[in-house]
This record gives sequence, structure tokens and C-alpha cells, in this order.
Amino acid sequence: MKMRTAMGGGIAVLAAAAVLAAGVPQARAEFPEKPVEMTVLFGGTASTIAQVLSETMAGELGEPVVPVSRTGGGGAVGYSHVMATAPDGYSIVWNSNSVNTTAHIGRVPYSYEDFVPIARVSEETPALAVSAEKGWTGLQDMARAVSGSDDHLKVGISGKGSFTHLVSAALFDAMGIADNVTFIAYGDGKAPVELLAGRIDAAIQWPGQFKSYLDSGDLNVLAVTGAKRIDLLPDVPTAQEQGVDIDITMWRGLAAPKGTPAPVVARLAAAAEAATQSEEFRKAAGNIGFMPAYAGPEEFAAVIARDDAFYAGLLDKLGLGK
Amino acid sequence: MEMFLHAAQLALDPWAVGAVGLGTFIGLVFGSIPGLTFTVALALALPITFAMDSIPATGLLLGTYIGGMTGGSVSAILLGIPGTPSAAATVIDGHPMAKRGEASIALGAAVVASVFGGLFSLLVMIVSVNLVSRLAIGFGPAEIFALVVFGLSTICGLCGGSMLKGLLSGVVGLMIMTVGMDQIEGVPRMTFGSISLMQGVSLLVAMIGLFAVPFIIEASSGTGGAADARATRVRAEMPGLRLLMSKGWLMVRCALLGTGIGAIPGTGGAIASFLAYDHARRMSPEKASFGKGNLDGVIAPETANNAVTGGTMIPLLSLGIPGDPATAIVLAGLMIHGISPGPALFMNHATEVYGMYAAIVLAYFWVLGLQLAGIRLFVHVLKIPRELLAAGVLVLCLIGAWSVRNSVFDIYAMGVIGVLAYLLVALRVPITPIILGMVLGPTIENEFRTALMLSGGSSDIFLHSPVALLFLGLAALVIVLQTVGELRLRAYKQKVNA
Amino acid sequence: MTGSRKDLVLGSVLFALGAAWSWAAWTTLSPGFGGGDIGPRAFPLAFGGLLMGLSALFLGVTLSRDGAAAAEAEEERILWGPALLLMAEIGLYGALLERIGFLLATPLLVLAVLALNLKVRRPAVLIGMAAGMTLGCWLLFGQLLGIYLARGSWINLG
Repeated sequence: MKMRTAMGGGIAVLAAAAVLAAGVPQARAEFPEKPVEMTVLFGGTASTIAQVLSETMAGELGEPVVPVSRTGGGGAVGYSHVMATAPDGYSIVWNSNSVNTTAHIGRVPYSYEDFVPIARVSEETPALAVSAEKGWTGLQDMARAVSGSDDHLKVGISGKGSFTHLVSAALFDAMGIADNVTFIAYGDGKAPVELLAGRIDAAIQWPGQFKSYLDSGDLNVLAVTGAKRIDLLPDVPTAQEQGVDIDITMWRGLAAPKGTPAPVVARLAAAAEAATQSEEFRKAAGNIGFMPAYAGPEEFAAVIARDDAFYAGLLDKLGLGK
Repeated sequence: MEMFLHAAQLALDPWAVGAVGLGTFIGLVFGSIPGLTFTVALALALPITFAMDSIPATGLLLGTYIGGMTGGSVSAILLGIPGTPSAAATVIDGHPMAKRGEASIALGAAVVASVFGGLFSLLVMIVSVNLVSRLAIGFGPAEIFALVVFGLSTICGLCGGSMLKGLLSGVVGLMIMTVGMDQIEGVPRMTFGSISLMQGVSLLVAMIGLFAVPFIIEASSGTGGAADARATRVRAEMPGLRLLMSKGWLMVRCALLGTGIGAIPGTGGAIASFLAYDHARRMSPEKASFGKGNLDGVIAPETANNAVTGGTMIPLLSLGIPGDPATAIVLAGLMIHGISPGPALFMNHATEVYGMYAAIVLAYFWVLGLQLAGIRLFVHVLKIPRELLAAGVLVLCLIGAWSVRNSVFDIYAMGVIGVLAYLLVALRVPITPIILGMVLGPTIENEFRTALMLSGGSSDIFLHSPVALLFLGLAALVIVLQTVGELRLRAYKQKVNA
Repeated sequence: MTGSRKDLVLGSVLFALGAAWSWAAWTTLSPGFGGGDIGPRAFPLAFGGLLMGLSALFLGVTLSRDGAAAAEAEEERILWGPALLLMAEIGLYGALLERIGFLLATPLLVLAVLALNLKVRRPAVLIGMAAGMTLGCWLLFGQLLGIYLARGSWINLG
């Protein structure tokens, strides 16, 4: 009996050793021993945050973290590239909920389950702006004005199926005015001008775009769509404060190809955590208008899975699901 | 005034002067090397600015932008390969001048025209930023669509021999740009299920392929452009002051045009330089010499594309709207230093704004100094044996194509487009209209579709806008004039032959 | 082949391209929903149609002046060999780039282009250019200016 236990234990140790030797040869204690490549899927804010993050992370890891931009196809190009690389932690992706949305719109050969979450790093909260000339100061003003007239509200979005489209659709649905809305797609970044010129009535975009217009009094920002107010626009109430039940933010984080060993993920997550707490990263967050929001691998995995179910439902409702 | 002096003092601090100089130098290097563009240079310069103070940081970025825009003319003139899409129009007359042994005159005139255009547009920006930005707000999708149609009509003037061949080539350019993700619906088009094709063909990659690959193929036959240019002795003679003064009025007109185009978000340097080129050709008493090395054909686009730099600063600073990918990176650089552009910028950050003005002036002094010194070196590129030059250009172009998106797909795309471009060149089809079609295609489609969405499908949105009608009318006028001219020429030729 | 004969081939090829393109657009893209939405199909389809129309016109014009123009046709030989060779070399470079990295793929390309396309025979020039261009670009762009150059997944130097 004793003998068998010992033997069983021995086999287990041997098996574990074999797995360690054969399966995860890269997972040595000294990871990283060469530069880590961070694929960036989008330009604009995504790329700027990635650059700040990679500099601070490199300081933690002792090896350079190289942001490599692989844009196009709504993130499909970059995700496909990273998915095909070796799961050794030297190739990671700066991802966002685009992994959920593109997978459900279809046409891409991957889903969030093809990646191992490392850490959530930041959160961005969209804001709803209207021209100051409308005289609306809250969501209720807007709902009242719209439902009382036959005119459709022209709402600017970045493109069909884009994040701004999804947030807008969810918000107006929650406000009960979804049937009175027409979506207008225009290029990125033009929202404030289109609002000022009166060509569109409302737009959801990142708050950084509206900040200066709010200061000058040209635009009113009616609400932010997250559960908490944001630092850049502290006087703007959330939708929930105004009785509209909606909580959508965009997270950004890091992920690695499926099969990346846990110790390597933990090492990268620790570096990401230290980076989000650094002075430099927090200053950039304040200026650009995003919130540092570190979450470790397990918590991050839960966030992604929850979001995936949410966007699947939302896209289905909009008729955009596959 | 006091604020301005304070800002000037900050901008003239040795660190800031050095930062602007470094930026200008990086921009010039990237702009003048075929294949590498200043959009890539700005993306590389951005992280360097994170640790700097706001004025040297913005100075570095602005210097890179300005240097890159100016540097694009160098390889356009010497090798016939534009360094940036904005310099594509400069090739048409600049390269023939280099073949005649007048490279240094074309380069010198290009630098002076660039500096003039840039400083002129800065002046316009300083005195009328509020007025111009209010006018720019009035440019909605319908107006931008009409303006772009007008820009597209200049294809007619770029065709060389046959107008039909030029139009065919322009349509091919328009078609190439519909491949990839549709920006409005978010669906892939003409990708046949391929993830790589979903990223679409990059304009920069196509431009490298279109101009550089034919250059390399022709070098293998010993009759390439470089061989022609080498046949004459390389001189480093600068254009005279009197010659440049005589072009003053042309430069003023093109600078105004460039500033205006730049102020409208969603347009940019390429359309301005083609419109300016077309304008110069149309107004010239020696129309026939265009395309064969007329100096006006170098001065006009180079003035206009640098005037765009000042023009785009207007919507960038006063509205927070970047006009193109390059200014989008400048915008990111401003944001990260806590300067958020928009109507409140001039209240909150007046010092930084004046600092930027000073940095732009400084950048142009650097450009003038570096380029005038550099021209004497640049022209020696033509002394390099053609086969070595061709191999070198190929490597640089491959690095350039790769660095746009770090994608192997772009290398394949460059090869395929380049060989097709060579076939077109050999069949005497002009390839410049392909670039024009590619630059304008996405704008034309997206603005048209957005305009119709706004109007609910009614064409009134075009017909009730005086601005849109004006540009559509101008476009129609250009096409009619060109067709009539072409038909007359053909009738005349037949008479002579008969 | 005379100039106008070449033009006939060009026109026909472009017409066929326009037709194939239009067919692909028609079958793979969805139309708009009306009410201002013209959908993702309208523009590609219109461009395809435009190409067919213009190339038909071009064919017509070329045929109508066939005799007169033949006299003025200057000959320009199309270098099919070097063109296709270069395309193959660039394709091979693309295929190798992410496998053996910039530092190994680039000298191979330079050697191939110099020796096969440009007929350079002197070993010193071949080796000097291959090594010089690669190392020079690697130092200047990769190290000094910080451009990301491809790394190899099979072997990687640097």
C-alpha cells in the first residue's frame, strides 16, 4: 500500500517533470530574455495608450516591449497574426472588446477563447453630446423632445457595427426612443463639427473630443454611459443617475495566444499592474481621457466572457449578428 | 503681445530649437527617401516626445511634419518616385527637369516654394483662424464630395497623350480603393474571404509600387529614367533670385489654394498639389511644355502642399479635427501633453499656441538651411551606377512598404501593383491618375453616402448647396473644356495627315 | 505588335476586368436598404461599369483610327522577363521575411536582383551591396530610428 502510494507519487512527479520539459520549455524563470512584441490593432487613442504602456512595462520587465502596429479589418488582421504566433509570451496583443464584437458580426476565424487574457489595463467611457443650441441639459429633455415630434433624431456614429454604434443603439433603446433615431455614419473624429453645424443632432464619442467644446460652451454633454462619472468630465452625470439603465465602457488590455504558460502570463500581468500604477501612465490617462483599470488574469477573463454574452445579444437585436 | 513674447522665449530656448531641428531633420530624411513617408516618421517621433516639455514636444512633431512634407520632392525630382502622395504631382515636371540636368534648379525652386507656401499659410492661419474655421464648419459631406469631384476632374489634365487612357487609369485607382472593409457598413468588400485583403490596399504601398517598381524594371534594360539623367552632367546650380521673383504671383495663388484645401478636414496635401498643378498648367502660356519639365509644374504643387501644413493646423487647433493620418498623430502628441485642441484652446493654452506658431517658423528656417545645404549632396545620387541605385531603391521601398503596417501583405501588394504599373507605363497609360483615384476614391464614396443618409436619399442636399454647386460646375467646366480641346486637336491632326 | 494592336489588347483586358469586377460586386455585396442608404455595392458596381464603358469607347476609338495611327506608333518593347522575375523575387522575399527575418532575407533579395535582373557579375560588388545595404538599413532604420524590422520565426539574427 505504502509502496503503491510512493510509486504513484513518483509517477506523478515524473509526469509533471515530463510535461514541464516537453510542453512548456520556454517557461523558464528568467522570462523575458528577449524583447516582447505587442501587436496594436488600431491607430489613434489605442496606439497612443499602447506606446505609453509599453514604455513603462519595459522598465518593469527589463526587456523592451515593442509596439508593432498591425491595423486593418477592424482588428482582424492583428488578432489573426497573434493567434498564429508561438504561445511563449513574446508575442502579445493590445486588445479591446473589439474581440467580442468582430467575432459576433462574423467573418473572422477566431473568438476571445483563442486568447489567454493577461490583464485589463484601461477603460474608456463614451459620452453623449448635443449642440448647446438644442437647450437640452439631460437625457430626459432629449427623450421628451424626440418622442413629442415626428422628426427622427440624426445620430452620428463612426460606422455600422462600430463601438459608437452599439453604445448609441443600447442607450436609445434603454431611453425608449430607439424608433425615432436615424444613424448617420461619418469619418472618425468629425463629431463635434457635425454637431456644431447642425447636420446631426447627437453623437456618442470619446470624451476627449468634446472636452474643449464643453469648456467653450458650444456643446452640451448629456451623459456618460458607464456606471461611474469620469475624471475628465466630472460634472457630467452618468446615464444611470438619470434613470436610464445602461453601463457600457470599452476596456483595453493584453492577451496572448492560447497555450501561453501561466507563469509567463503572471509575469506580464505583474508588469502591466506596475505600469498602470506609474506616475507617467496616470498622467497620460488624465490628459487623453481614459481610466487606468487594472484587473488580473482571472478577473479579466470573467469580464471578457460577460461582455461576449452581452454583445452577442445586442448585435442580434440590431440584426448585425451572424 | 506679452504672451507672444513669453511663448517666443520658450520656443527659442536652445532645447526647443534643437527639438524642432531634430524633427525637421527626421522629417526630411523620411520624406526624401523613396518608400518612407512622414506618417511613419511621426509615429516614431511621438514616443520620444512623451518625456519632453510641451513646447519642445510639439516643436519636434511639427518639425517632422513640415520636414516630411518638404522632403517628398527630393526623390520625386531626382528619381521620379514621389516621397509622399503629396509630391506625386511634382514628379510630372520635376523629373523631366532632372533628366535634362536641371535637378538642382528644380530642387532649389521646390525648397523655396515650400518655405514660401508654409510661411504664407501660417500667416493666414494667425490672422484668420476663427474666420476660416467657421467657414470650414460649413463644409459638410455634400460640399466635400463636390470639392473632391472637382479634384478628380484634374485627371483630364494629367493624361499626356490620350484622355481616355488617363480616365481608364483613374477608374482603376478608384476600384483598387474599394477593396477592404467598407467604412460605413463595416463589411468586407471584394476580399473573397481573405483576412489579408480585409486591410485593403494602402495608398502609400500602392504609390511605392507604382513609381519605384517600373524604375527598377527599366533599369535592367539600360534605358531607365536614371540612365537618362546620368547621361547629362550633374550640376549643382541654384535657381536665381530673379527667376524665383518672377514666379511670385503663381506662388501666392497656389499658397492660397493650398491653405484653403488644408483647412477643410478630410482633404489634404495630394488633392491640393494636383489642383495647383492643373491651375498652373491652365494659366500658363506654354501649356505644351508641361509634362516635359516646366518649372511652374514644380513650383505650383510644392507651394500648395506645404501651404496645406498651415491650412490643416486651422481645423486641428481650432476644431480638434485632424485632416489626415499625419495630423492625427500630431493631435495625439498635443493631447498627451494636456493640450486639448478645440474652441477653448486659445483661452486655455494661448502660450502653447504661440509657441507652436514660433516652432513652425523655426522649422521652415531649418528646412531652408538643411535643404539648401543638402541639394549639393542630393544631386550626387544621380552619379551612382544605375544598377546599384536600382537595387538600393528596391530595398528602401520594401522597408517603406513593410513599415506602413508591418504586414507582409503590403510587400506582395507592392510587387503585384508595381509590375502591373510597369505594363501600363510600357503601354503609354499614364499612372499618375491611379494615384489621384486612390487618394480621392474613399472620400468621394464616403462623403456621397453620408450626404444621402443625411438627406434621406434626396439629391437636394447637393442641389441646394451653393458651394457644392460651384465645385460641381467647375468640374463639369474642366471636363467639357478638355474634351473639346482634345477633339479639336484630333481633327487638326487628321487634317494635317490628310 | 504595333501600338494600336497593343491598345486593342489593353482595351479588351480592361473590359474583361470591368466585367469580372462588376459580376463579383453584384454577387458578393449587398444592396442598400433605400431611404438614403445606397449600400456597400453601389460604388464598386458603378466603377466596374465605368471601366467597361470607357474601355469599350477606347476600343471603338482605336479601331476607327487603326490605319492612320499605325504609322506613328513608336515601338517600345515590353520587358516581360525582367518584370515577372522581379515580381517573383518580391513575392519570395515576402514569404521569407517573417520566417528568416530582415537580416537574412534582404541580402538574398539584393543578390538575386543584382545578379539576375541587373546582370552584375563582379563578386565584390554583389557581396558588398548585399551586406552593405542590409547592415546599413538595419543600423540606420532598425537601431537608430527605431523602425520595426521583421523578425524571423524559423531563425532570427540580431
